[in-house]
Amino acid sequence: MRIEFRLNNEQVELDVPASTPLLAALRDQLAVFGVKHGCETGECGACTVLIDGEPVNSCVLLAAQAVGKDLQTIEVVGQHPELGWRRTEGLSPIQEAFIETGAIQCGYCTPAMVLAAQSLISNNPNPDESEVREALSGILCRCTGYLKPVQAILRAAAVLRGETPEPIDGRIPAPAELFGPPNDGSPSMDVRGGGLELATRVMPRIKVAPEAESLRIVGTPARKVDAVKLVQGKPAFAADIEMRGMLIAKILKSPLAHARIKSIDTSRAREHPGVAAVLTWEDLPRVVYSTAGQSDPIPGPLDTFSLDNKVRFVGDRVALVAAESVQAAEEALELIEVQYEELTPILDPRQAMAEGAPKIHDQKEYVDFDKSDASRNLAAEIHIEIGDVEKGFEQADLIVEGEYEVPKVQQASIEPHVVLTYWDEDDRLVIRTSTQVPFHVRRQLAPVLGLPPKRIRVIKPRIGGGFGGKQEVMIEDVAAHLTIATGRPVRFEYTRAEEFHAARSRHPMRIRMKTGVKNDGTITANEMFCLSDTGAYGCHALTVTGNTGHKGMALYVGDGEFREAPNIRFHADVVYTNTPPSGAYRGYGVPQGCWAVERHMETIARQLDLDPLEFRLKNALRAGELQPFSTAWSEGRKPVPETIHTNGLEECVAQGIAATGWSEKYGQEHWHAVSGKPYLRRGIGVALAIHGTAIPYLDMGGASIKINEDGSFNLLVGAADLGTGSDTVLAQQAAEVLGVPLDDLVIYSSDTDFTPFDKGAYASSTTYISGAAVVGAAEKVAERIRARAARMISQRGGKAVKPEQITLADSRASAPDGRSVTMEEVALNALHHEDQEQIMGVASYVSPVSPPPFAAQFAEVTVDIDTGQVTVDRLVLAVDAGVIVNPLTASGQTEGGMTQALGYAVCEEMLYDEAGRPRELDFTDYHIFAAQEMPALETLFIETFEPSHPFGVKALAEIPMDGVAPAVGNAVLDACGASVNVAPITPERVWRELEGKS
Amino acid sequence: MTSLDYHRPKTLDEALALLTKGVPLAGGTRLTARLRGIVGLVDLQDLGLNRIETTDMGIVFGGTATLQGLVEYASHLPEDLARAARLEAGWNIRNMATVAGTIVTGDGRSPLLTVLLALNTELQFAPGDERVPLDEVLGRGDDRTRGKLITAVHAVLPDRLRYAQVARSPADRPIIGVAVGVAQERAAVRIALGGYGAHPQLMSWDETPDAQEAADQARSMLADAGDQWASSEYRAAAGATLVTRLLKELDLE
Repeated sequence: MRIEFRLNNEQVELDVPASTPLLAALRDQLAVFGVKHGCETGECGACTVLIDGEPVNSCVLLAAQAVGKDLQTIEVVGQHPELGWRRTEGLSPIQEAFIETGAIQCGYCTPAMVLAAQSLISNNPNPDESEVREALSGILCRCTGYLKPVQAILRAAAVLRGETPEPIDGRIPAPAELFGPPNDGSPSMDVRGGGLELATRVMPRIKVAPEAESLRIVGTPARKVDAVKLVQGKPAFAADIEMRGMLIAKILKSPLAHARIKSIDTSRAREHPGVAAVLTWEDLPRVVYSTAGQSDPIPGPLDTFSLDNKVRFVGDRVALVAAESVQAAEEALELIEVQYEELTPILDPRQAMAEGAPKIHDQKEYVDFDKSDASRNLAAEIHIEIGDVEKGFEQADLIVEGEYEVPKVQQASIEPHVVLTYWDEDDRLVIRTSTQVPFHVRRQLAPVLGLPPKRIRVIKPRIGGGFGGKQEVMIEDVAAHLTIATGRPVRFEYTRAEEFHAARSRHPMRIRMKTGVKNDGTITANEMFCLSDTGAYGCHALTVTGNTGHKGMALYVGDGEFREAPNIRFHADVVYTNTPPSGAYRGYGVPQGCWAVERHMETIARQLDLDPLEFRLKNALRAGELQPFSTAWSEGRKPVPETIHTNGLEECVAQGIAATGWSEKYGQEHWHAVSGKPYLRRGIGVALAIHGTAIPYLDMGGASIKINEDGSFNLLVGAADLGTGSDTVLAQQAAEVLGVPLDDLVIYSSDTDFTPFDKGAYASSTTYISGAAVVGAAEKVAERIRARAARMISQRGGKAVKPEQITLADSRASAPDGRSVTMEEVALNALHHEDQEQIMGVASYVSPVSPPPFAAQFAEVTVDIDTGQVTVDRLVLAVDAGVIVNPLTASGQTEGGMTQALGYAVCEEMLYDEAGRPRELDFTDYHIFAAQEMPALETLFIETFEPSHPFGVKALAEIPMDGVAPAVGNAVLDACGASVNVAPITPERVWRELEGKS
Repeated sequence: MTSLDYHRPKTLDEALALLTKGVPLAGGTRLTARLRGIVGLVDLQDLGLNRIETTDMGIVFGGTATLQGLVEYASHLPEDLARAARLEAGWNIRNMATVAGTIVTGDGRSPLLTVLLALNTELQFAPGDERVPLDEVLGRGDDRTRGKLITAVHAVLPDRLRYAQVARSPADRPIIGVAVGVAQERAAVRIALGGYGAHPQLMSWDETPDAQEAADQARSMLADAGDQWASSEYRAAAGATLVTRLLKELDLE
């Protein structure tokens, strides 16, 4: 049908089928790419447009419904202020505020938030925080925790009212000895949604490491280097591209959890109008591989085919279709006739290794890794013994045992998995994909596609969140096979339902703990047995679950003689079931272990009537000690003992106690009661956490830097910024070495043809590993600049100066006596004037250690003791992540991490019925926290200076995921005595504990 | 896949005539993603049915009045009615979704539907201007709405109204939701139980019930309310708790 509406101040006409959603019309026909696809059912809000000034979701609005309306998208909100000779009005105050406050992480939902903010402020110039949160209530963000977007909108409103908000200072406030309670005059905890958090404070509180105080760029809240394009909704993401002749791919999914394909008839589908290709397992080479994006050799079984003659979960692949349109592709799927031989599924991991259990992987091509055994449905087995555990138990005064359970949950990045493939003019296959691991994609897909890696180019554009879910070579092969089959560009994008059907998730686990402890609280031995469910395929099976022990069980080594020689046992069986595959999810096994260990430690402390924090610190790992698991296990490779050099855990606890007012709350009866509501009880809880920083002797990152004629630099990194801000913190490290402002670093990541290798964005490694590579490359460049500058300065007269006397700062190379040349002069001299050379440096880095960050996570809750409903009021994270390169991006990460972990604590859970069909297929049933329901969030950075990195950094990305769930669980216990050992902590689980019905 | 016809009538009569060719399209927030098998859509946006007004008898929502319209009319409404609309969806969806559409497509997990049921709500249909109590429409599928349009939703203003729910998080769908409405002119009490099933359930009394009796009746009604989100045992206990609590808050114990 012919439709017409006003779009961004212009009249638009187009022909669309009446069933076309407005989102599809805008993106596919009008190339309005600032409107993003996140779901098809209206829950996520990434597709927000303004219609007659009000925000609506274009995915659930037909294009026909917009006829006669006035539509606005992000494309007409602000511009870069300088476009060559043309000056513009610049970005809008709202966009500026989003950049200033660090409100943009991946940027996928940013256009929607900016539009919602514009609508709000135009109707209400002076909104309060609750009104701002309500304005964001229709837009889900998985990165930020909403705090900074709320701050941005309040700040923008003030600017638009003509006020001048306090500048966001480049320097960090001087540290207090103890931070004290937050937000002086803080409101009471029994009020939600609009009184809790004073949102005008942008910067986190931070205790600066003395060694870092002299740094100029590192440690400052620099603007994200990609913020200007993201806040304008520029076409920066994988799907934001038009290609002539592009086909749309769709997958025929299995309706059965376990079945053999007896026959597939695709003849009708192939003849359907608009269909370009239909592929089944019979059409493709039979190449077994792993989809886990990891370094070579893959530390796990090879058990996956692009298409197989067997399906292993509801949603598994049956056939691939490429067609001219979504509609034609979907119609073709309905024309494929499949006959299945239904097999008995395994849905309970406890039955996977039972005698006579069906074999999920009975294919002859299966390739074992380590102790995997497909005949027993065992994807991985891990057994680690440190010390003499049985003797440790004998030396204990008390043995405490417990069983704990954690659910399957999904990363739920708002940008779904999406890939676009095409042949370039050299007949090389280009894969433009939303991935965390571009180099692994190239290496791992090459044999699957029958191409050498040199004929594959992988481009990683901006990524709309990944959180581990895109550390998987999961959908690239679909589009690639269809491009090979048709010779045409192909786009394949998961729907939100397909994400829940078939994308990866966190491994659900059942964990049994047994701990020996003396009456004084000394742990004598600690044991964890873990049954981990990898689902239908063994991607990340060994390594995720290994980290459940490697980090989850590393923190509490004991005290005294036991500290000298800890007794720790970790055993895990990682089993196959007929459910969607588990995989990498931010935290990578540690949140599961942390739930069990920290709930268990709380139980022990209470049984011994010990202060829970004193008990934990008494037994906790300290600086100068070995990471106990480093002597025994290293992700399937040879372990090398590692000594912990920095550990700010005691300081984290002290600062967290002060910030939360712990002493006035824990054990204080008057605080637990809620006036006038006898059915409500407050509680406070804590969990401590340890994580890692990259995989030692394995994770490698590379960087190259070259100087340009204006004294700016191109920084090329293989590191994959998936929205975390890694491009920014890498550029900050380069700028620090080179003595130039961040604006003079032009960073590009990542493209397998043009950037150096990097293993990718995982294992909390980028700031540390890729950062060290950047520093190495920058130092090589700096060395060449110093040599040339010394010669240039000496040539100009006066005392000769040596290169090592030259300092780089403020875009100048300066001699001790003040003579200097500008960076631009050095560049022109090198490129044009004298002994011409391209000043550039290339470096890579692999670390012999994995220095752990430490954290103390605090939670405050209110529990309805009649219904079991838990309301989380406040989360405070005190974390030692080494030196913080950028306090804004770093605190954004911790806030977002705590928010994801909050879902893990109370509401996120993926369940399946008796036929293996998922309960959750959208964001209504799979509830992730929205802006208007958030508790107060606060981050305290307790810096240490890690000596193994030039700027003292350690990892930060994953540790916010670890402690929230057990801290909430412990707070619930504190509030009402309910000891819930199964996450998430749902109302019914709390109620059952209170009623003795668990 | 069959092709889809889209109609946007300008008058109610025109719309009614078109109902033989398609289904009503209000905000579209539920329908757009579920078009399979539908051959025609009758878009109601130009019918001028989006008014909200307070009368002597109560509140009248036009059939295409949006949830956000309801929220913005909050100063004229019982607080928990506006709160239920806010719990129904985020701002973007509320700008699109309609009150009538929520009634037609909502299930037992709808906070707004639960509250409307406690308010002695009537639906006005065209043709004919027939007014039918909401509880008579719920649970009858398309029987009472096929070939008709909801032109208005009449909610009787209560003397008092309370809504409470138990959910996994403050903005999550309820596992159990209870709305208690007390009529203005007499002590009639309507209690709606939501959070499960195809639609909320109603309990009503012409006079103020004994709190224990009401709680027992709720427990009885929830005895088979188990599903994938909660057991019937839990729902019965939590539902009875909320009934007792709300009656106490309303000074009806």
